[in-house]
Amino acid sequence: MSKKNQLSRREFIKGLSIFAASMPWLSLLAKEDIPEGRRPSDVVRLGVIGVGSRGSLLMLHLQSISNVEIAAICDDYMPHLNDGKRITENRAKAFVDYRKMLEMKNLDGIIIATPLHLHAKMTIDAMRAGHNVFCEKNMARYMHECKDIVNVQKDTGKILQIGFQRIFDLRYIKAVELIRKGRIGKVNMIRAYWHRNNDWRRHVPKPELEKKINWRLYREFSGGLMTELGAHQVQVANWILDSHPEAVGGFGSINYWKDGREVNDSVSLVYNYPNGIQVIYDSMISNKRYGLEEQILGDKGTMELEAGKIYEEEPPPAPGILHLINDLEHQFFDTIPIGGASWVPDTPVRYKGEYILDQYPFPDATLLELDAFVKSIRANEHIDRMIEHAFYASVTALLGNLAIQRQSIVNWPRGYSL
Amino acid sequence: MSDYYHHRFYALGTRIEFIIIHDSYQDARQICEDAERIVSKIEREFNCNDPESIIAEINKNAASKPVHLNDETWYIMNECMHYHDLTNEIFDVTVYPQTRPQKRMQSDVERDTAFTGLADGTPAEVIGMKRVTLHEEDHTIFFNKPGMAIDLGGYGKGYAMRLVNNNLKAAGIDNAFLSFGESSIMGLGRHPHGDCWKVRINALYSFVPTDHVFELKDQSISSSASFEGEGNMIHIFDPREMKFINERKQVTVRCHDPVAAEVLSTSLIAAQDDEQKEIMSRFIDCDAVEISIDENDSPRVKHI
Repeated sequence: MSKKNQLSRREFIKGLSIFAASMPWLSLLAKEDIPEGRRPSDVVRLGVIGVGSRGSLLMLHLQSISNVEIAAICDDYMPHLNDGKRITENRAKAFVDYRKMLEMKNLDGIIIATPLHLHAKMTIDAMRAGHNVFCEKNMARYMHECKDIVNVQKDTGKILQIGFQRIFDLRYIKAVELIRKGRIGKVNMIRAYWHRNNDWRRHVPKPELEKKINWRLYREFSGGLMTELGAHQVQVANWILDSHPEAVGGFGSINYWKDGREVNDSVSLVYNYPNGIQVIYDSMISNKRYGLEEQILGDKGTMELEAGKIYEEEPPPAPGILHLINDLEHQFFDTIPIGGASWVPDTPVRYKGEYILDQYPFPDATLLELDAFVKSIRANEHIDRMIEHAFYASVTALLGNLAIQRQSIVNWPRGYSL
Repeated sequence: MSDYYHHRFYALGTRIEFIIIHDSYQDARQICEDAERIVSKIEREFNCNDPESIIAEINKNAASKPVHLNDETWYIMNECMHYHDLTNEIFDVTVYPQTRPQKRMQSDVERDTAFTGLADGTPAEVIGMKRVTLHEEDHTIFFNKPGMAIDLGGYGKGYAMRLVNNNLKAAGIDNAFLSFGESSIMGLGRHPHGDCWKVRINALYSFVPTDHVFELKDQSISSSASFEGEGNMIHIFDPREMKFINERKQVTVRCHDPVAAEVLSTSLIAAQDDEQKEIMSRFIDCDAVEISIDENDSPRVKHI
């Protein structure tokens, strides 16, 4: 893959506008006529709730976006709050109780990066308090909460964005565009997986902090592999198939990390989509050989989205062979114009796949999604189809958990269509 | 309309296409899928760039200890030795790993008269099939010098085609047209509406058709040119002179055996007129043409 086409972030974002027709959420990101903050009043002031590992990363990204101020931070775990203060050089107002932060009148938006079980209440409270909200994925811990969030967003009209950053990732954007144009033919199946080999358990300084720090291990607070990892990939599946699943079945277990945790360390699911298309998903955290991937299987080719590669099922036929075929079909006996220099693929070793994108590296998708949130605040515009993507992805992930829990096939629930 | 089945796939760094004349579409498809598996297996086992291939294992170990060869690889290495002798030592599978990194642009060669073609620091002692020992009793291969390596480029496509031909015949296919990257062609039997398969050769990378037509009846042709690619990279090496051939030449050879055709097509490029005739005299039922480009960029065909 050539590195010669590195783009600046600005050039990159501008370039996204060509996809805006089919991916309207990009149009806002690509807009150039939004004030970039030449006046102090154009500064976008944000509050961040949850400044642990993910929240800290988001803050670092936010600090690289021009005219964004992290005006407030909140965390009820002091070591995290102290880290947050360091990141903001003590300039942000610090809170332990997020409700107090929400009382601030001069915030343009709230970023939520807390444990999953808090997403719904905090998002709803923030919107009701008049704030625009960016909340990390999954939308919520339970399906009904996802509905509640969407309803409150409709009532309040606030900007709401959920952290599914692949819709801002150019590899995925380009891949979906190529799929829509028929590059790999009809998509007949998707396989996705995410395999890691790590212990989710973190060190706990005091026993009473076990569930606060290791919230991911407990069902009360966590959706496990499907909400921590799988949600990203089922969002991609929904995007490509332009649909949500009709039903899902599968299994999950704790077969390796048997340390008292409640969430599965291994899950396998089959989602059934309209037109008989299956999305096969598995995730585990006791082997990392295969890493993660989304394999999009079409009758004319295959895409591997994490690797950013496309493989054609068949090479284009040689002109001489086409000439021969024409002769056979018309019963001609003619000379075949074919002998000569050896054919080389347009791109070297094409049968080993070609890259979907030739620009590398490109801006981080998390940075872009935050950029989009800031732009939507400045423009006071919702990001088109954002809520739709987020809602369906979140419910899809949670539905998988339900199927595992019930050990039966579960259908897409009634009343969960936007 | 003739019943034909068209099968194509990527392998051996190029596109492979079969046109099978058949009575049964299902049978033809199955036969082609079997043939594709044969080619893929050859690619897996004999690609020196694949670290898990047989050739890679040989290259890694044969300089330090004899490496046992399975029956197929033993056969192949012996055949390569045989062709090495028949082509006055021009055909040489020890050359390519050393020269491949040093493929040069024609413009570079015109400037650099001292160009040897070997990777920098490669001593000439690691080139030469005379330094490969094949031990009959235990079917092993040993390299007499560290740093030696083999590559079946210049042989492998022909070998794959030979196996496919055998497979098609065994499956009862009498008439078929095979193309391996358009430079190696085989016409089995005949065209449904004629008594052979007629193939016109294109000149070098201009794709300008020459006047020369080969009629193929259970025969294959293989074309090689001293230049490859749009940028004109020279790639055919004469191990006797230790230099690349930088004249613009193209040779197409017709033989019953696709391996012989492929071996000859590269060897004849390195050989001059008299030697070409001498080499050809050792091969039965083979003929060849040499295509060169004149000062007007027109192709000129010479029978060898």
